[in-house]
Amino acid sequence: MGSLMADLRYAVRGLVKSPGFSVVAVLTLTLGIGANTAIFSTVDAVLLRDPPFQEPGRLVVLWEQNPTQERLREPVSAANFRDWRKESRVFQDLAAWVPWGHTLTGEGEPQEIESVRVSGTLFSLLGVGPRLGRAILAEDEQPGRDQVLVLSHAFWVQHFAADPRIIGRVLRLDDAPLTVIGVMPADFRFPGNERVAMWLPLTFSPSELVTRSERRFQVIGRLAAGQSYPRAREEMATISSRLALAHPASNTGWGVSLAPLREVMAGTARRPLLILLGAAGFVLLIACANVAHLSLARAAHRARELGIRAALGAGQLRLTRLLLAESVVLACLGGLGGVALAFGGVDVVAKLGAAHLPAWSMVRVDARVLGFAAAASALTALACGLAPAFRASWSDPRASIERGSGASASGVSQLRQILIVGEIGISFILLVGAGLLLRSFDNLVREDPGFQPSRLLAATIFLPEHKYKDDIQEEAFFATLLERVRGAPGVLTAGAVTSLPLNPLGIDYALPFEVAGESASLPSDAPRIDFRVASPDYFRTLGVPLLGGRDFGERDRDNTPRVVIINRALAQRFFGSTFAIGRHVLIGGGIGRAEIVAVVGDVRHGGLDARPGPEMYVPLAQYPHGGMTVVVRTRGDPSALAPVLKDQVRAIDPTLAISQLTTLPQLLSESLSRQRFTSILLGSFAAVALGVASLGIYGVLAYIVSQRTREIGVRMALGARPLMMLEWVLRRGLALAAIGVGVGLAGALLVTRLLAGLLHEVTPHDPTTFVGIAILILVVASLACAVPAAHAARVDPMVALRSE
Amino acid sequence: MLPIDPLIRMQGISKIFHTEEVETHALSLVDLEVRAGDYLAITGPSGCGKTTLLSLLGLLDSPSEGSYVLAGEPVSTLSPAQRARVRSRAIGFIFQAFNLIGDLTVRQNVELPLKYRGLPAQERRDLTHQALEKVGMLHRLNHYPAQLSGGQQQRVAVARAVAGRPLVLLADEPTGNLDSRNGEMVMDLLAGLHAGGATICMVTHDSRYLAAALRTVHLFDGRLVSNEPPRREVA
Repeated sequence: MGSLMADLRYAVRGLVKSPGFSVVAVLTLTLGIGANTAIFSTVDAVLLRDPPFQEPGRLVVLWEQNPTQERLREPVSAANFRDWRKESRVFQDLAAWVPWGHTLTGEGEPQEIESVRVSGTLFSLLGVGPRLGRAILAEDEQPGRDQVLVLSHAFWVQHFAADPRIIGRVLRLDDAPLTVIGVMPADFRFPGNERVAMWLPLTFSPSELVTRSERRFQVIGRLAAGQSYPRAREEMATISSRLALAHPASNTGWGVSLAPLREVMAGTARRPLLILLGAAGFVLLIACANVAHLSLARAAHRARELGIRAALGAGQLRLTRLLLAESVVLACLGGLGGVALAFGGVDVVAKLGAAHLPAWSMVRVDARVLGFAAAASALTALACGLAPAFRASWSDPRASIERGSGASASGVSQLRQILIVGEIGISFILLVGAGLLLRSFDNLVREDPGFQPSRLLAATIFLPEHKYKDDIQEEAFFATLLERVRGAPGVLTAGAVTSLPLNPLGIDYALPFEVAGESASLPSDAPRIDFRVASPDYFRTLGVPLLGGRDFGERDRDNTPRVVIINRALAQRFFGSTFAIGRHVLIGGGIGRAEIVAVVGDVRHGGLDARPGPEMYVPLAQYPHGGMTVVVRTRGDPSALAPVLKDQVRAIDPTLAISQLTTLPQLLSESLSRQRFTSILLGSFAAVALGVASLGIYGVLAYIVSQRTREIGVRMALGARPLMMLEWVLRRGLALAAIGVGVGLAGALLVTRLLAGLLHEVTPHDPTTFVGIAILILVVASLACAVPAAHAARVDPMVALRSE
Repeated sequence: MLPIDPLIRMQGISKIFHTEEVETHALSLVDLEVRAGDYLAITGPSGCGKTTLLSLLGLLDSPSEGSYVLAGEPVSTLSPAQRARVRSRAIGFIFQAFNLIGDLTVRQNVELPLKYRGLPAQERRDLTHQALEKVGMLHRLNHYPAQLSGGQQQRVAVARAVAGRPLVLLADEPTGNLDSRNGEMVMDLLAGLHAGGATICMVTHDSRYLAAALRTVHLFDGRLVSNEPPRREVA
């Protein structure tokens, strides 16, 4: 132990005496370890850490599916859920929930609350208890006993200052009094939505229990002891077959799909996060390679000292330990620096990922992450130090003492060159990945959304059912609101729709659709088409082109013939090249026969990376809805009109809350958050990798020039001009870079296939990106060679005459 | 008989090195002429300026004062790039430490100055073969310096120096790193080259080899203190 401490002290002294080497090495390792720690903290929170439920591995999410209709994860009907619960033996229990918006009044301004109605057994199924009070129980599902609610921890803190006397407090939701019975813990993550503010009991209505085609509910189950996931799939397939036989009209073709809860909670974040973790690992590898070849050169310079130690009796393992001590010190310092960097990095990652990362609020540097950093530092110490230590300690001591260089300079140089080729190769892979993602992002941003997003303000309003009891009241509210908004200063046009493009909030569903033929009824296998309700002027406001026909207008009332507007995709699918306007169609959901009065342009509703699908629109006056998004095109900055819009809503009904007030450019930006997250982070890693690899090239070439100064002098004595020596160094550097690019090319062809699902309008083997990155690396390598090349050109040929 | 212009004419050559506040006068007011076919030995104690004089003769450096005319062309004020061009054509170097490049084969080492001159590949090959044949090392064409003895390396170095048929050969202690047998061998090579018409300037400490030269110049403290006339007429 004493000699180990002596080695460490000696290592620290040696590093202090070489501040240039030490600073570069520590900074390089800080970047590598810091990047890995920050990304690991995200991966840990989102993918690795168990959700805070009891035995989360036994929790399964269930959906209804109809493969022929390409509907693979659909919500479940209440009736089907009840039957699953009754018949299943594999599941210990099943619970259901449905998102539900409520307006909270009496606590300041009316506000729309994101809440969820849940089965009474949900919390016991999850195995989670509240922090205060009690959770919702089965008995709370009874009518008359369901006027209770449980608050989320965040809502309790933000709105009630974490008042411990909250239990028993009465809140008014949709004008109804509800009693707070509990507060959930801070680390509770609701599987369906991590931003839920409240939970209320779920009570199925009588019609929900008979209408099996009304599929609205999310379902989660806990496997019974001894049961397995494959067994659950088998059983649910059997149950759904029985239900299809018993209820053919609603259940034919419908089955059940399942997925482990953890997989569902990770969502679409899994692949990008794993790719980023791999990229961060590559950065650390490059950092280690860089420090390794700095250490190699350093060890070569200490060859005489090591030779003397060997002559005095030090064994090879002892010498190895002496050299490894420096790597350990560097790795420790790099680890500490990396952890410090990770604290800041985690904030950046969480901020970039807040819009789409599940569990983003749980991303932090904690004991597990610190443990990872420690392990990374230990591996780094070995990776950086082992090869140089072995090489130096196994050199011929006699040669080391006599010549002052043990391992031949060319041998050290060769190993360094091999390392630098590896670094360039890895940098190439990272840069190509980043380049592909950036091109993909650029393609996305340039994608035509199908409407004009600039100067558009949007507000989503859900009318409470207890107050707006019928269609007439709903239609009157939105008609009045639109009239008032259109008259406001600064407003060009206004319209409303049930579901705005790119907006996760809204009423979005599909109805059966068919071209009207001889039969007046829809076939049972009629395809389901996305269905939206729109006001007059909606398309004009949004900037969706009217390709033919007319917009909805005053003539489209409740007592006039039904009309529908379809988009180009729907027109092409059902009418091909024939004219659709004036044709009649059949629409499910109680709508019946309607005339096509217009065809509008396609809108990328689901996102810029989603192909526009077939859509139909019906007029608000004929199909009033209680939840609409009002969209306003303004003359100037749309956010400046937000207060005006709020005032107009309050002027009609002061108890109403606006669920979401945003601008379309903001929605567009948020819709790209996942791609932006991955592109920015991978781009940053790639830039760091290239910077570190460039430092490596510089280091190798500077070493070569310093080792070959005499040779350079001889060449110049023999007639080489300074420019020739500059070219000589550049050629060596570019040769290393070119070989590295070649190695990287082979790796990139394999690795970039992992990005296939993340790319938009660019292939994983896009030649432009590959060639562009190769050129970039060669240019950067040339710049890295510049200083050593300039040194070589300035070598005094007189050195050829000096004796060694 | 008309007088023949000297191949090398140095007049009033001085070289001053400046390091921080110290001025070192390595050479002072040196006048030297070397005619074609001459075999000149340069000698003197350590630090007398022999190496400096050789470096100026070989255009590795420029004089601080004075003029240097080589083959009728003034060369004392050339730029480093211009000096390198002249070196590759007109000067052949033989170093004490051989200075063969370890990563290159014997053939590549001898070809190197020819490459710098920009000669085409076939011509380079022919000149290389002729030079190696002259020194008896053609059979080691594809060997590396590390595979040769000291004497063999110096023979290759001589081949490298003469391959391009330079105007003058400059030898800096060519036998300094060799045993007496190999030293004799190298001196015989130089004698043979001289007999073939080569002009040679050789720095040496060894009094045994001074006798091989036709003329000896002595340097002391950077000055030419004696310039012994040739022992016989140059043809």
